[in-house]
Amino acid sequence: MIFTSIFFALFFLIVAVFYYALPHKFRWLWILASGIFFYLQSKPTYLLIVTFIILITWYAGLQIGNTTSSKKGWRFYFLAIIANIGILVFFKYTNFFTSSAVDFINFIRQKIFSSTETITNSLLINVIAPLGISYITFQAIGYLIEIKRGNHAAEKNLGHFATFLLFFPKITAGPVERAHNFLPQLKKVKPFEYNNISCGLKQILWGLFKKLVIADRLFIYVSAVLPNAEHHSGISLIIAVVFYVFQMYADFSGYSDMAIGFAKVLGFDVMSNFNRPLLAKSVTEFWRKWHISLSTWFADYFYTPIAIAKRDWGMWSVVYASFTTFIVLGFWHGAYWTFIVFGGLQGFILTIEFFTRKARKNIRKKIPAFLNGLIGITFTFSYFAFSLIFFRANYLTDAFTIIKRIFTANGPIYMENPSIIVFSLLGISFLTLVEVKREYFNNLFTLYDNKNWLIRNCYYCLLLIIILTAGVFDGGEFIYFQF
Amino acid sequence: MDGNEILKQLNEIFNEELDTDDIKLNNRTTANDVDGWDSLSHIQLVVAIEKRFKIRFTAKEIQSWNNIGELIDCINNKLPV
Repeated sequence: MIFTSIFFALFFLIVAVFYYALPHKFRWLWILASGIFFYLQSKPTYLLIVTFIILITWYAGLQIGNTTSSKKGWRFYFLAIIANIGILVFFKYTNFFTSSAVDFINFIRQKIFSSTETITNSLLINVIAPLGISYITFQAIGYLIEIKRGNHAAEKNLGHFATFLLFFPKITAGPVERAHNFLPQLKKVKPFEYNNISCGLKQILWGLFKKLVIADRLFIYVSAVLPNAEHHSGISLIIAVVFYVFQMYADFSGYSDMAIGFAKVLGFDVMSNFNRPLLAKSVTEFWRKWHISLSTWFADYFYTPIAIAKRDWGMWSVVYASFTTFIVLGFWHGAYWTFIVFGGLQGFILTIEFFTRKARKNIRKKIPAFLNGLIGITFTFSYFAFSLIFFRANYLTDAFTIIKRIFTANGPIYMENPSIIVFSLLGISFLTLVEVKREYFNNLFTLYDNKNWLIRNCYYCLLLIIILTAGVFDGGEFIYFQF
Repeated sequence: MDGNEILKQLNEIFNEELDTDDIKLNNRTTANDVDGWDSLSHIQLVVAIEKRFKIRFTAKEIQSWNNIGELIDCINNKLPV
């Protein structure tokens, strides 16, 4: 059930109305029931897998929290972590591992035994991963680690815990919420507050705008050019790559805005996911502003423990931890070498930035602040755009073709339908304007939260009219649903 | 060593490691208040603190401090009386 569908709008309206009509003690049950209903819209049998994750994580959490014997606690901790990772690996990586193993065996047979016969991978599975499985398992693992570290108590109420993992606004693609942020909110009595509804709806509107008017419009050009790189000129490919950065941002931050907005209408504050990343002045800063709920998850539960354990290596601990984290983060997107290169490129530049930070700081002192910012933003944007070429390509060879042609293929700009480029550029300009305004001139003026009722509402109506007239309604799913 | 002395030394370490001279720590300072104190430089700071005070933190301790005051308490507990 996609957020931009009429069916979801109706579903959400019913959920919200009954949610506020019900007394507090039944509300969690209603939220849980709506989460189950939402999940059943994908593939009903997969609800069994999610139920298994819920049960094992909840029970292990209780055992880790209650047991006085650290050995017993460790046992439950490991079992539950392995169960979660096992499910994730099975659905996302079985084909990658079996195919890589078969390729390796064929390679050895060919090279060492000069055999011309090849074996085929009979273990290929043809299954679609359960909806939101990465996000659900990551939240479950984070919950277990927090209890193991003694930072938070285990949740005693199975129903409340299930509601945390099955909270429908964040099921499909996050944010990767923390249990200790969500569960206290679930227990707290939440009166109907106009402010929550208004803030939530405004965020949903902006998210819809980003998805339907900007992202799905950019998708048209990007999907016409990048998969057919061999037929396009360097300049068209550059335009498509730049468009893809904005498409990705508008799509994923648009989704996140809607998820956060739906939660807000119901009175929940879930983690934010983006903080104007395209205005970051370094790639290090970029990763503090992009997919925040996942990058902080990796920082807390993956990067920091590695860096601490290896801290006697000095600076190399940071290099080692950064590379490992980003390669795993890349691999998390899918079992393809393109994602691993994408992650490796992030780890590489973070290391370079870490080693050169003092030198860069000295240079910065000699350059005017405005120019500094501009150089930083341009470099960060360009580097991220370059790494996204690998992210978008199906195979490494496709990515290399795009890069090669960017530098070598002369020719005109691909413009089958000029209006697509014009609308795309208008969308990008508007998004950039809003982001720059919010970053640098936030107190100067505001349309979104203008004190004047008429100005404020005219602006909402304008956005709505643009969505209805210029929105692309057949653009399909959000990019991050597949991960 | 009293809390003020530890704070003074921490101030030196932070300015040295983050290559600046405008950091002024107090007990309530958090990572958000210090420019450049992020997850990458955190480990570097921890190593420098361990060297200066000749102590060793556990992984759990390193991840538990919410502000400089808690870091100072942790150092104080590890120093010989």
